[in-house]
Amino acid sequence: MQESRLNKLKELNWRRPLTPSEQAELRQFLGDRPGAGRDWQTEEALSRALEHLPPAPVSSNFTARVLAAAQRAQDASARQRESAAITPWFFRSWWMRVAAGAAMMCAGFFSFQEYHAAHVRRAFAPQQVAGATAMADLPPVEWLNNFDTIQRLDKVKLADDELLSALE
Amino acid sequence: MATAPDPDAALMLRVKRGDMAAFEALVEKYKQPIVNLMFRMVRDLEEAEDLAQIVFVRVFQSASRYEVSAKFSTWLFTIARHLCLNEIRRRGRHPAESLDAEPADSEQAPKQFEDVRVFSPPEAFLQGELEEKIQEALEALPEKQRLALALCRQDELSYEEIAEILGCSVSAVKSLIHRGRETLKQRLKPYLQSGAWEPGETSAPKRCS
Repeated sequence: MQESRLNKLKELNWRRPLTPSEQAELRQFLGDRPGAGRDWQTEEALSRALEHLPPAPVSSNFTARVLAAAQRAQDASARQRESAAITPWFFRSWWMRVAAGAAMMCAGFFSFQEYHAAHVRRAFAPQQVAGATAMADLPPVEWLNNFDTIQRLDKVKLADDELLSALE
Repeated sequence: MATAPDPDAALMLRVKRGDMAAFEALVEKYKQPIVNLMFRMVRDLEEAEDLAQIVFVRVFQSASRYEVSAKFSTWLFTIARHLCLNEIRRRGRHPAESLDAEPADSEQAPKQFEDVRVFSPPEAFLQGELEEKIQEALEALPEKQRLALALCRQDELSYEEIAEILGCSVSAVKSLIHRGRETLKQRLKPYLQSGAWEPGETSAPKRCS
């Protein structure tokens, strides 16, 4: 028997006990190769051991619990559909909600910026006015008493040209 | 050659139309294989049942999108495989947490297990110890090998279907099973060669909590 056939029998033995004809075929192969017998015994013993592992016990109310859980899941999804029906369309998907949140944050940020800028302008206005007055200081009041005289000085001829030429 | 229609797929199509009786029939048929698979993977009866319950609820929730493209059992075991591997990874990240901690469990009915142990004390002791050794050896295997070995014991699944569930080729499945069995043979050699394992009456695994 070919090695590949032995492997095929091995693969069958992993899943189910061999049929009488398969066992006869195997015995013939093992008879030709005595060394292979021990390996096969271990293989067979492992299959038997795995096969006889007891099934996990299932609680008697398992099906009832599954049906109750399925019912709860169905009710929850019905509630979700109802709430989706009354939610505005732009809030139904997560990315829409994220976009709306981002837009609100931007609006909030710009409003704050505006408010802050106005506040700063108000805070600095008195200082600017004070600066402007300091630069344009008015002359003392005493100086203004002779204002008219000084104003007229401009119109008086400072030098009598005729007299000067006669004196020459 | 035309393939026979899958009766489970027909039941699932009825579930799709809202037939709870069809869903109950599917749960009844597959609860034992799914709980077995989960138990072999997580080795805790309560968790195995919780996971099996989640598998069936997922099936129910996905019923509206169900299309008959593969055998129902292949689809079901694929969901089971995803869930139990996720659970094993979650346990790796948060070893102290358990599914029992979920608040949803509080409203569920308590589980009722039957005591089906029928051994006389000395036989029970020997059998229990051997089972324990095999379970330990199985638990020490890499998760993919353990899963392949557990699926291999499911009569209704062919190697091709196991390959589809595990998302690999048939030869990769056979290789996983072969490597898993070789490791088991090494670890259980004294028990297997002594012939200590004698198939007989079976005992139920002990509850872990």
